[in-house]
Amino acid sequence: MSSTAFKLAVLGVAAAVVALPWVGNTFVITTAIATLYLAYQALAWNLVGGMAGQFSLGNTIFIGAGAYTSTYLFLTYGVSPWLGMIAGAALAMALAYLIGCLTFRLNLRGLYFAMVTLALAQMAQVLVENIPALGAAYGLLIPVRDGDIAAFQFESRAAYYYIILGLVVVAAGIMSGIQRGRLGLMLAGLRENEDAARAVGVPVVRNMQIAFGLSALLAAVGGTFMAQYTLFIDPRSTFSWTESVYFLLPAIVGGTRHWSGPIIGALLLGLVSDTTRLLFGDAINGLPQIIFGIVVIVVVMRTRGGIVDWAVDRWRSRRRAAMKPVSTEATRAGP
Amino acid sequence: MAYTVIAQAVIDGILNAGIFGLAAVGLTLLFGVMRVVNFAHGELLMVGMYITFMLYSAMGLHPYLSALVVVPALALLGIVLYRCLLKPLAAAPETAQLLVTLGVSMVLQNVVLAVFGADFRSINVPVGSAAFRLGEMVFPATRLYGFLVGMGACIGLYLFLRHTDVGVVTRAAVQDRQAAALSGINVEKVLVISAAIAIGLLGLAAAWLTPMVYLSPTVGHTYLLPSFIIVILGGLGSVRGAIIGSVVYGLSQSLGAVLVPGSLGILVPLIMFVTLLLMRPSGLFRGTV
Repeated sequence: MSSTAFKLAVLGVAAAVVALPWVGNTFVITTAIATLYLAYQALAWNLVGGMAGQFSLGNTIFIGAGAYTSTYLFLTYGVSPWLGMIAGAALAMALAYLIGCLTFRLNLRGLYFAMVTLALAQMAQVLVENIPALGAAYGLLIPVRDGDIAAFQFESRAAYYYIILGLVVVAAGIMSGIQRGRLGLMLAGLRENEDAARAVGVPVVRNMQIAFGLSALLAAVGGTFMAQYTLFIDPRSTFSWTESVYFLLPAIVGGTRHWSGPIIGALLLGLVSDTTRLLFGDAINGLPQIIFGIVVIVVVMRTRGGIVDWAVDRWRSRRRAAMKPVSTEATRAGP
Repeated sequence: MAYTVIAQAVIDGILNAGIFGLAAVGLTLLFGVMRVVNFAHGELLMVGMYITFMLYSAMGLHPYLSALVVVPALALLGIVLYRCLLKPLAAAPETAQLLVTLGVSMVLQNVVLAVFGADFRSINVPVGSAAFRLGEMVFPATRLYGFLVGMGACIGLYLFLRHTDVGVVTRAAVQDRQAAALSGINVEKVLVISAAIAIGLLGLAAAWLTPMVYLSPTVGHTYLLPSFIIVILGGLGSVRGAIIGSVVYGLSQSLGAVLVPGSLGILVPLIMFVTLLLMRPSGLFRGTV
């Protein structure tokens, strides 16, 4: 594809994405919001799970911190959820810092990190279920105030669509910014060979803390958004382990090394489950999830490290293969 | 707090350890020999329970007898899982295999949901309501048998790995796969046998669990986190550690339930897990068995 055609295609996609609320019906917009939210949380997870290589199964803690903080402050003290969102993000970052202190410093990596975060997420669920002020096991209902912007509520779904679209852009921007910068290089070093990175003076714990903190921040903001969008939160669906897995699959299926990976993964998985839902309705229980699972298996078997990473690697190796004869010619032509 | 309540909790905790042990031992073996973290473990157990349930409701086969069918069936499933999905990914990044097992768990759970629906199911056999008494202590028959069979099989596996030729070969493959292959060990055979044993043990657990729990497509989930906790407590790859770990976990769970009010008792095993891990990250035992 020539570069002009590519630019045109990108512009076309961008225009379609921006114009979607005007052309799509409620179903399309609802689906689009769900898919964008999936992409957003996958991007948030990818900061710690993909870029820092720490397989977090506890990002629901931060989503919950965001959702519960803003909702509790709004219901009890009438604080605007916009401010509550900031408070929730701060709480999430503090929690991430604490968890990071426990795990990163003690060298709990890989499976250990995954299991500790999973156990902590379960603990968060049990704790919330036992706090009446947070609605215990029943959850919290946010009263409807359509169109009250200070209460983070809008009359049209389009507003929610643009907010989550903006969040996805910001999250993708943060990821690509990190990748281009010093932090990204250091994280890549950690991922490839932690001992070597440590030996050349990369501050391992601090870098992981930063990645984890940013991931928590984004997850919490998303949590507040989702609470305001559905106007209901409960501990089971917020902290459940299925939820953690659901948000990391797009990143792994799409690829963890480029910002487009989690987005493409979310689009694919979202599209797959929505299409099956549309075609078969509720005729067969669990069918969307079955196909979802099969897509995950097939993609992983075929690409190993996600669609985008696989495509990039293939493209690079092809280019290398194409360039080889040229470079040997050049050496031969030399003195 | 009455003394008997605590004593009963201790008994319950220990009795539960047999079934936990069966699940955890397989998980640790899979990790030991092929470095695979099997997130489908709970769902494979659930599938075993549904097979047991089907054999009982269709043919009236007693759940304990159905182990004769369920164990080979699950062992076969384990081999298929290894051959078709895990082996091709042997050289791929760690997360690839983990993700495949996650995909398998989603598929299994929802296939069962599609076939059987979300309703709770249970089977009603006399053993389900029988119990032995010793003074004021109660030993529910299902739990006692579950403990005896589970612990028996776990210790059997331990002795098998420790003392038989196949066991020695397996341990060699765990320690250094390349060196094992170089000294003429058929590593592929070891991996197939391990997959069959690890998943086959779940069939045993399923047969003894079915009379004591309500079946639903998500029942496997209940056993996934406990199994992981036990495996990590005992030391990844250590069968002996998994056996001890399952007793520790069972006790913390049952004591937590009686000593801590309400559902907060669930926190006890989790807190114990996190604290122990922070103090001793490598788990209780190291090594291959």
